[in-house]
Amino acid sequence: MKKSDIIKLLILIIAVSLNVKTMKSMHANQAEINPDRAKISGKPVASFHKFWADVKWMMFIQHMGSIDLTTESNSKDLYQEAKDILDLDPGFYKVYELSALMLSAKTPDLAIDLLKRGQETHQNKNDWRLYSMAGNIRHQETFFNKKVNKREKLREAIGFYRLALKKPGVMPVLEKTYIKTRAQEAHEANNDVPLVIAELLEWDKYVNTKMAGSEYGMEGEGGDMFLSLEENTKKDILSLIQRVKREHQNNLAGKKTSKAMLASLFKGIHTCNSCYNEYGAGHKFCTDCSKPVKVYGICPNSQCRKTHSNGKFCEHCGTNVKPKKKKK
Amino acid sequence: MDETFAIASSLWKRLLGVRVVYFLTICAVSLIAITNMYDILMIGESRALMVDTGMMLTTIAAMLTVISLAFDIPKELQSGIASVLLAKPLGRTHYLMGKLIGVSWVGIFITSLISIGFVVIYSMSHGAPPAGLVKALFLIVISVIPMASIVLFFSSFLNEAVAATISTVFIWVGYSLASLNGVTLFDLSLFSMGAEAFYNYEIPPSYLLKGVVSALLTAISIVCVTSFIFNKRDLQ
Ligand SMILES: [Zn+2]
Ligand SMILES: [Zn+2]
Repeated sequence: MKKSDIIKLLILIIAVSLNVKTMKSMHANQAEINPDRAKISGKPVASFHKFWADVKWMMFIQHMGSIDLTTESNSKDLYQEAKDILDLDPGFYKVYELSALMLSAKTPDLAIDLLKRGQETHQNKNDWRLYSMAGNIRHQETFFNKKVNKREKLREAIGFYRLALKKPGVMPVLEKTYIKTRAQEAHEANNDVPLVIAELLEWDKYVNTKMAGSEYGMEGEGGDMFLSLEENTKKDILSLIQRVKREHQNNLAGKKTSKAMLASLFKGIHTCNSCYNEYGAGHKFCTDCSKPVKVYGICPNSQCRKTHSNGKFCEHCGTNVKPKKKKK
Repeated sequence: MDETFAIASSLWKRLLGVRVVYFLTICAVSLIAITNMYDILMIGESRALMVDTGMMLTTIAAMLTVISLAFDIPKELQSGIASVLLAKPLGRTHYLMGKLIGVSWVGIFITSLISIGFVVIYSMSHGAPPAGLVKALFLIVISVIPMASIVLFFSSFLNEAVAATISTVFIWVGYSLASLNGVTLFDLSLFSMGAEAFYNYEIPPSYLLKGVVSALLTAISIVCVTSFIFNKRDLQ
């Protein structure tokens, strides 16, 4: 062997061994940078997985557009096509969304399967929509399919909604869906409990756990513990309390829970004792049921007696309207 | 060393003197721009299409450039143009290195041109490009080096058509064997980070450095092997 050949051989051995090390470390980095990489299929499409996924996505849309009536068989085809796209690009959110929508009517199980795949990806695992969609699909099955085990589907839906509620940026309206579904499940389990009462009880439980959460510093910081409950949601709970009063006057559990919630959640507002309708400052009678209500917000100055706006002093005569609070 | 650079620069001048190169570059950049019109067809995912098309066309440009070497070397050896140099003791290794450096420069130049066009179009339609996009493009640019080395290897002992075909297959397979994590010595999937760029994953600078190191080490090892075989060849 020539001297130059030996040098070449040495260089070759050193270069290859260093390169193996570098490549191994790069592979490890790739897995750290993007954990979804492991989910990409080994299809021999060079580095064009994502481009190929885009092409298939356009074909998928064309196929969907050509379908007049979804059947079980074309749903299965769509499922396969969606899976093929996701094998190439597991992070492709729109594929999960659109295919779940298309498949939910005839093949809800396949739709759920795709959504679960999405929930397992690093890219989409924190997207609440994938969970709430799965919940909705299970929930709607209880309306459209008479043959299914209602409670089982409801419980599945509840599970998905609960996961969705833990994700960042979730729409507050989902809380209502979650509670309604829970109430439905409770009603399904025990038909003696009217649906409205069940809903109220579930709200009470939910609000209490939220409060407990804030006590442990999980949400909000001291102050208003219901900060995280939307104003609209509170309005809904109040009208639910009113409905319970109207429709199930003699239900003990309903009565008790209503009272408790009015005392905690609605501490800051004034409600009519007979119909729980909220009334304003200075009102003498309930505008809903005509019963007299306890008047508040009237200036204590006998010369004035006008309705004040709950400041420190009456805006009409300057009388201190909160004298007790000033003393320490 | 002067011989190496003379060969490199003659190849570089020859390839970049071909007008069709610039025409194809403009075509590639226009194709990237056209993806903007696919927004409705993609249901709002035209950014994905633009990024993926851009990455793909840059990669294809790199592949085509390096494969041109498979037509260059066998032809030159047959015609005996370089026979004076090849008769010298170190001449053959210098010849191989010159070819590799020359074609790599051309590949880096063309992919950089397309990358710049791509980044400009991206910023015009989707705002400032994420750092990952530029990094992913950089990786494609340096992937020219390992790709060019494999073409150099095959064109040192095969005829044009066979060398071009086998090189293409090897490059394709080199990109597709990601599932064999680190087992293969020739893994181009390490240079394809387009998905990471699109989804805005953080690509650390150390990864780019390792990419450069790995590209150079691959080139060095392949040049060593090639020169073993090439030196044993009987060339007139
Ligand atoms: Zn009333
Ligand atoms: Zn007053």
